[in-house]
Amino acid sequence: MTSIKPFQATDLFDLTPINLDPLTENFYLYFYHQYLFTWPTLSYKSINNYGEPTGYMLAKTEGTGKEWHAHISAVTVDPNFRRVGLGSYLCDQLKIISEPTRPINAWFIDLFVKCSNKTAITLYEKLGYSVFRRVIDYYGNNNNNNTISINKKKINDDVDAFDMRISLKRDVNNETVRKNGRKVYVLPEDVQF
Amino acid sequence: MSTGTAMIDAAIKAGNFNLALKLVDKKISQQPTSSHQRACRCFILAHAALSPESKTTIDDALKETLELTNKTPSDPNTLILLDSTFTLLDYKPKDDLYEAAIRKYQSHNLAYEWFKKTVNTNDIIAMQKATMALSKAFKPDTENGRMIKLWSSAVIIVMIDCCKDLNRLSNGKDKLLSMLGLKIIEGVETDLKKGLNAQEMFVKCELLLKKGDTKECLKELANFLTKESDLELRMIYFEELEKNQLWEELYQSCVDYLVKIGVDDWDTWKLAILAAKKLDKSDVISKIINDYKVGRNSQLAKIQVLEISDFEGKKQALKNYLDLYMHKLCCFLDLETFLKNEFLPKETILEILEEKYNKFELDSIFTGDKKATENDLVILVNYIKIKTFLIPESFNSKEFFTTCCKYFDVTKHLQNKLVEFDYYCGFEFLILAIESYLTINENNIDNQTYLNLIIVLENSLIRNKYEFHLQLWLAHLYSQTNLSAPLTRIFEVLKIKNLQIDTLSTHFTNHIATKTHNNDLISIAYNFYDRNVANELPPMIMSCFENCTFSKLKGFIEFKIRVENSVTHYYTVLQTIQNSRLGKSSDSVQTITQNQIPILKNAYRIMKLNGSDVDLKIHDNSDRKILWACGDHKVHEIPQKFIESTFGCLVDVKYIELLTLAELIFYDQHSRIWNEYRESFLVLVDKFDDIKALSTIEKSIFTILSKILADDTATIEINIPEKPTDSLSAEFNNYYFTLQDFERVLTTILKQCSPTSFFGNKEKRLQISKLHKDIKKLCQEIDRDSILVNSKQNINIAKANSQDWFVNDEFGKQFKVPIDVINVCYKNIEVDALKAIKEI
Repeated sequence: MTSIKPFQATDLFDLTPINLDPLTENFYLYFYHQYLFTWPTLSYKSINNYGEPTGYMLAKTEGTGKEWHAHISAVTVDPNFRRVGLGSYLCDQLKIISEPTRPINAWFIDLFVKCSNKTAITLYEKLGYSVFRRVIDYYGNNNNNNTISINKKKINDDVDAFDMRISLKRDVNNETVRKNGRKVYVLPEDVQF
Repeated sequence: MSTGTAMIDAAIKAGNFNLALKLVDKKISQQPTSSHQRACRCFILAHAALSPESKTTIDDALKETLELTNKTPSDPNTLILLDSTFTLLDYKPKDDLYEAAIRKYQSHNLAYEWFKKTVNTNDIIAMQKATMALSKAFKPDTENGRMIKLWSSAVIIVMIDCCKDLNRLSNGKDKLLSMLGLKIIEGVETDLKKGLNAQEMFVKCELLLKKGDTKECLKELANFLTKESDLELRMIYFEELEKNQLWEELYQSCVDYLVKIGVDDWDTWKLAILAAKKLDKSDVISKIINDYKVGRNSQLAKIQVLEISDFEGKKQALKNYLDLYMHKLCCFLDLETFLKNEFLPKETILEILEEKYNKFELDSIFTGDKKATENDLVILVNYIKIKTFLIPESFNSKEFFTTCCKYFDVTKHLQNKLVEFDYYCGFEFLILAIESYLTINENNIDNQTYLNLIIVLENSLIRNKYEFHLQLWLAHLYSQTNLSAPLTRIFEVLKIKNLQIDTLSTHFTNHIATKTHNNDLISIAYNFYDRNVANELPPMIMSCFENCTFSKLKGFIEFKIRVENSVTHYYTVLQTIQNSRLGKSSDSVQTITQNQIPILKNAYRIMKLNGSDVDLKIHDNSDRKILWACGDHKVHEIPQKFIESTFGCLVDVKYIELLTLAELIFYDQHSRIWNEYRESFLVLVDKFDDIKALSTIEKSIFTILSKILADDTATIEINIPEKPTDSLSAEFNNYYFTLQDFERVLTTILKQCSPTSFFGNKEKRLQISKLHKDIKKLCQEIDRDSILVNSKQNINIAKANSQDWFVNDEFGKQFKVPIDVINVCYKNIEVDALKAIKEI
């Protein structure tokens, strides 16, 4: 059984089974707290019948005009609750929160996923996300300070990210998504908002 | 804490208080009206009074500080220094310094400094007063003025929720405060002209509830939720509807949330079913459930909706659920609640379980006729977990042990298919087998058992090194040996960092300062508190205010309090002191006094409050459940006794209190409250049996210490236990390190005392000197060469015992650990053990 509850700072004490998983990044304190105080409605957890967290979502809003969107920064699930659609469930909630006119009214939701992570890409595609662009060297060592040295044509599934999007109701004409996204290459600096 | 003058700071740091006083006196003569320079002088006097070399007494320092305080200075820098001085002197002034100042001189700078200070010191009650003062200092019709008014209303909620103990909000003060908060927010609402946003509405509704105006609160919420679906507000709305038994509204809003908005939420299903039953609408809700998209929640709702008497219905619902989800890991966890509530007779569930066992042909896997698939593995895991949960006495059965080993064996080929980071649930069989082994052999468990089980786990981790339950179990097993190097290795494999240090590091650091000089784990933890926690948390709370994120405010404040005052934090500080004392650095006393003792003094202040509110106690944030969050998810007494014994347990508040008091007794000898330390320590020493983490040698040392603390000055007889003989046992290094540490402690006591302190009395000094001489002699008599020779023999014997156990023992052989793995493990054990022994 799964319920959705708002994420509180004190929940961080109870994330051991989720965050000990090697695939889940265990961020520094500021990271979690920044999401909580800046985007309080976009951070939530799934819990079991005892109120223990089984997964969580950290998301934010960014961009202006037609780029105004919700961005999934972290979504993760306790290993015991994998393969039952909990990841999708957490993503669906974000749609429910970001789509209505009040308070967010976003045009789309996006996320970054490593190009080599086929399982995750398939999951997001099933949820309706599609590749909007490929961000070269997004997970590489150069993207923070030296984007000039990145070769835009040199692709590498292990360090490149797909920027995947799903358009929301506000985007009546599907202007925020594209069909040939896998062939559009950009640099990390191009995806800053 | 800086005085603002570098030369004075340097002089204080170097302990040259005469120079510091000379410098400040010169400044006072240049600026005779400066309250800051006078506060600076008080600050220096307080430092001097705490030092054994200075003639300044605590009374001198306090007298001068109170004189200045009585003049009600209002300069924020002066107040900061005065505040620190009072902390050094362990004195709480009658009136809050800032409150007194602001009464006299209202300024937003001063109010803001006060507010910041209350955030830093977690003083919730003063925080409320400071936000009120701040809101008075700003014009109400400005953006900032409105924001600060909201802050003051929001803090009232935190205060009412968090300050319940010790009559802090007695005589209806909470109601009065909520009325005040409401008045403020209603004023803001009128000013705003547009409606409140979700965060502001949260404050209003919380205050309405605290005032007792549920009806108005529900009205506001119902109205707001039609415009905006805010999760936080919806939770309050549902909770209040249920509490007030407004079934029709509850039913309708739950169904809307589930169906119209489309959130498949289990808690909402439960409420909808409850309300439906109250309204005689079970048929209607059943239809909604049946028509709903198929998912875990709706399948479980089918069980929940059935009447207690509907035996057949419940049987069928369980069967349906197992058909759909028995090959999913969440199956056992989902059903656990129902199993606990005995929703069906045990025999019936077992019957259904056996039916599924046959349906999925699990027996053919057991007999080897069929090779298990990934689905089979999960089904088997769920099967055995449910069965064990229902029949806990299984653990006593050899047959059960054999079954678990067999399941592990017939599914282990699936580990070959794992790619890096895949989660492999087959480890559960192993944990169950180990728990069963320990239960059956309760009376034959010894140090060799730890080593044997270490090999079992090391073997299973070869292909599944990220399995964190196994790694944590392994850490506890290593903690109960003399091997500390593997603990660092496991800590690194699990990539424990950031907040996990607070929740998990005590699984690794039990008595580590008395096992090794290598202090990697202690420094990692210390740096987390010293750098991240100290620097990051106060600005985060300020940001929460600045962003007007009121629904998270209480969580932020609680979070800060819990991390700062956690068992792990204080244990890290205590271990740092011990580690530094046992090290070779000549300036350890000064470092400890300046860096760690102020933290322990804060711990003592909290201990003394001894309340139930979040800010009145030390918090144990260690994850105590994670070791047992596998198998049947129950804590079993016998395995727990083994896994969490003296050296493997997670240290608790009582242990921290005892150690803190001891260190304060050694290093804070000139404190005004030193006698309190002494009395509290003597009370705790009398309750040794309640403190699981105390090792035998620690108990002896603390008993000797309690004799030193008595007024008696007769010669103290050294009554310490026999030297441990098994160099692989956890007691081994702990014994020698603790003895050597005690020698350093006695040196410190003698070094830190002065004629005005308890230990400075001539006869007391003689008594301690004599004791010091005897302990020093014992330390000098440690025969390291013979220890090393014996250790090599110990390791050879242990290795032979393990080899024999895995080949010949009826239990050991069923773990099927290859001989080469045993040899590799012992090769590592030898390296780590000899390294540990050489550190003595």
